Amino acid sequence: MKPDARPIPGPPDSGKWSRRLGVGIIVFMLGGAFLQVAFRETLPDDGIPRIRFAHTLLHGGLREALDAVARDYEALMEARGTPVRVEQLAVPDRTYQQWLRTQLVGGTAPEIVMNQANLSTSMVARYLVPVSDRITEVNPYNEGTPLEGLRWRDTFFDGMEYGGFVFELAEHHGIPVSASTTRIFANRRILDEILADPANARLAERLGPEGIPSSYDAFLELCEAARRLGESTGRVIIPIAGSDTNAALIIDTLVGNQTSRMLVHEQPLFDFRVSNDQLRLDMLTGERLVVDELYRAGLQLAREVGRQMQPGFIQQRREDATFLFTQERAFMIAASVWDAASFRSIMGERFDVVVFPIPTPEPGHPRAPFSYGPPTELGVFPSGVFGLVNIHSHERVERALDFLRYLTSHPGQTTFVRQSGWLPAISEVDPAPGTEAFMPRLEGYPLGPRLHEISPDHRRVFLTRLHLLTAPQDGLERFIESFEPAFLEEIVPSMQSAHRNALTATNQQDTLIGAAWWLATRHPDHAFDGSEKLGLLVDSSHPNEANTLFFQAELQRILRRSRE
Amino acid sequence: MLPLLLASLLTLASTGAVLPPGPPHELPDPLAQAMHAAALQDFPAALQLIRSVESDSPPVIRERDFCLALVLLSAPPITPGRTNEAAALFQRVREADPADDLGIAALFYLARIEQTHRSPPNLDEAARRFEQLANSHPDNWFGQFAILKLASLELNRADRSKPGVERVDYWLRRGESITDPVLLRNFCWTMGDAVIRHGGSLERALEIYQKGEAIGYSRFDIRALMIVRIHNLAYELGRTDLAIEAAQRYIDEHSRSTIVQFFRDRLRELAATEEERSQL
Repeated sequence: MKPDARPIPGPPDSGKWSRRLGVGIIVFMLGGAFLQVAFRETLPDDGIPRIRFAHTLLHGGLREALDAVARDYEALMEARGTPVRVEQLAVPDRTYQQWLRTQLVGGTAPEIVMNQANLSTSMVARYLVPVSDRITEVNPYNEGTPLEGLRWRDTFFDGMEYGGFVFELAEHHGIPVSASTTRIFANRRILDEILADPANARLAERLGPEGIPSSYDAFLELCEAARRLGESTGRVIIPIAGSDTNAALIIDTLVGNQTSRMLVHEQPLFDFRVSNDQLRLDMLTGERLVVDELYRAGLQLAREVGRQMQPGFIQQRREDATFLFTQERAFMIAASVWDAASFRSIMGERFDVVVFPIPTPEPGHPRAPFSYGPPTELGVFPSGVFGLVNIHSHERVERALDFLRYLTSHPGQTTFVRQSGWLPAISEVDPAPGTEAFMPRLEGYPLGPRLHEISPDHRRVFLTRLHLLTAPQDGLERFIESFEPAFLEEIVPSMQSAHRNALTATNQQDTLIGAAWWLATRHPDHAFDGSEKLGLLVDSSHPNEANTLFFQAELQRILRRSRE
Repeated sequence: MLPLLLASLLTLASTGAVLPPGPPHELPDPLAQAMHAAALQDFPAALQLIRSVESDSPPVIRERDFCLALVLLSAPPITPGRTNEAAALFQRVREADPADDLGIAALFYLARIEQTHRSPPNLDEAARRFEQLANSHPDNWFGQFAILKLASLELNRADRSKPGVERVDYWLRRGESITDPVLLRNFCWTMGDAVIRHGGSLERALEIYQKGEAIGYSRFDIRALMIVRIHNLAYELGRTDLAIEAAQRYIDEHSRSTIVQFFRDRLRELAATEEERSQL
């Protein structure tokens, strides 16, 4: 302030009043916050409690299916004299993660939220209610059904050994509501055109009356026939719509089909497994080629099928591939059962689809001889997990839990699968008519390692060179020439990063183990069974740590030797 | 008066926001609630609850120090300063009484801090503390846990050459004193792997895995894994009866596993071999 400057005159005691006003505002806001917390049970105008659930299931027919289950539940509750209203909030996939985190941190999240890897483990622990104890209770809504009297978890077709289970926390933090498999969808109208062409008579015979390729070679023939149809009619017909997501579904299946032999012939710990660390270590020491004959055979298949997709497919997203397929510019697409209803709603009555599993070469195939047989889908487990948010009162959480019981009960799932065309998460529920082709294939063999999935950086190395693999001339050789050195370069950093992450996780488990021990010794009679948790935690952490220490030591010895 | 009101409002509002609903509320004190939150990996809530505990009673303060040190090891942000603070708290807990259960547990965590929570680790100091704990309290849960940790630390020292089978035998002998079933089954798993990786006999590995499997693992996937190992080792060693029994058990107990077809194939193969034998 300049020496001659004077303060601007104001009303008498203005500073005092503004201080009072400021304090008043703070008190008002804090009071509001307090009231919000204390009276969260405040009911809407109609006096009926609400259960809100948020999800990203914008696929066609899904919201209607969830609505139908919600209305059934409301009617049931009304008849019991305890009316509730169930409201769903469908949030687009791209914004869901941010939206969910904001809602949770801001204390405005609904009672139920979908969590398909949208939340970190620590956020799951922070905001979602553990339900391991609750799923051992009988689901009352199964009364009078084949599932009557069973523990809730035992009504799920995997016994909830995987569905909803968070391995790092050794706890269930949600209830899965559906299951999903991958299939090839083919445009029936284009298929009929192909089969009507006398030039394709031999192919038609191989495909049979349903037009479904029962072998890998017949599948490739079908692709070529679609290409010829496009050329002869002047239409754009891409045999298979590809994208970063849709192409990976086929490529991973074909590569894994060839490398499954590793699981039997190489298993270093006699457990039908080969760990990523073991593979990387063997490549570093030169005991294994990056592209051995199994992986090479898988890549050959990836090349053959990749060449049936539109150029530059790997830069495109799922929406782009869906667009090509639903606009009849692509003949086939690999997608999950979850997409089926979307396809139907976009396509309307324009055309129908034929659905079949991704064909893989039979054992002894001349170009890819390592297959044991078709891949099994036994590993499919219930997904689409809904978690209960713990910022709400006990009463509200219980109400939301009860709705999840109904949603995953025999009557709830029957309504859900009939309306949505999705697969049930529980046993004894028949699939909706027309969706039998999506039921998991129970016969067959596991997929082997997909080397390009060893780490995110290896995946990047693979994807950025995929265009070489699908090039017209010498694609496989040019791809391998570029891929192998780049792959090897990423091995050491990817191992070091994996070890750091693994040890960070086991470090955290030190705290969990200590806390469970403290509870088991200080409060042994409490419902939270500290000693049982202790066993789960030690089983989950110590062998992982010992395994990581082994590979960490092996890697350091190799690096030391190479420096010497 | 006003500050008091504000503080009360803030406390109530924030507590309402951090406490999970349901059973944890029934736990008798904030420390128990904090440990419940920590056991479920909710470290911010655990910290807040622990820091709300005020007491003049030395035993309560000691329990609080132990709980706080545990949570400081994992609550974000994890910093060297926090790790040092945790070590100092564990040290204080230990100095007050090194022989009671809290003092013993504190020594275990002091060893773990040196082994894996510090960067770079001090493996010699970690080994010295685990050794001290294992020798002084062989019957205590943490004393037995120390042997388990020490075995995997010493068998996997990157700063030493790869140990031979005699070192594995040494640790197998040390592990004979473990009686707690949870620790023993984990010792079996770790040492079964070590026997295979360090050139021991497959018979020995099989025997060790069988011992662990007989105790029973808490997780479904680990139970499955152990049956797979027993089957494959028995198959490799020509112990057909055991291989068949394990394969059949796997099919019965893990029918939704992706590798079930491997076992069906093996059973066919082993049955064919039996037939050939009988024809001879």
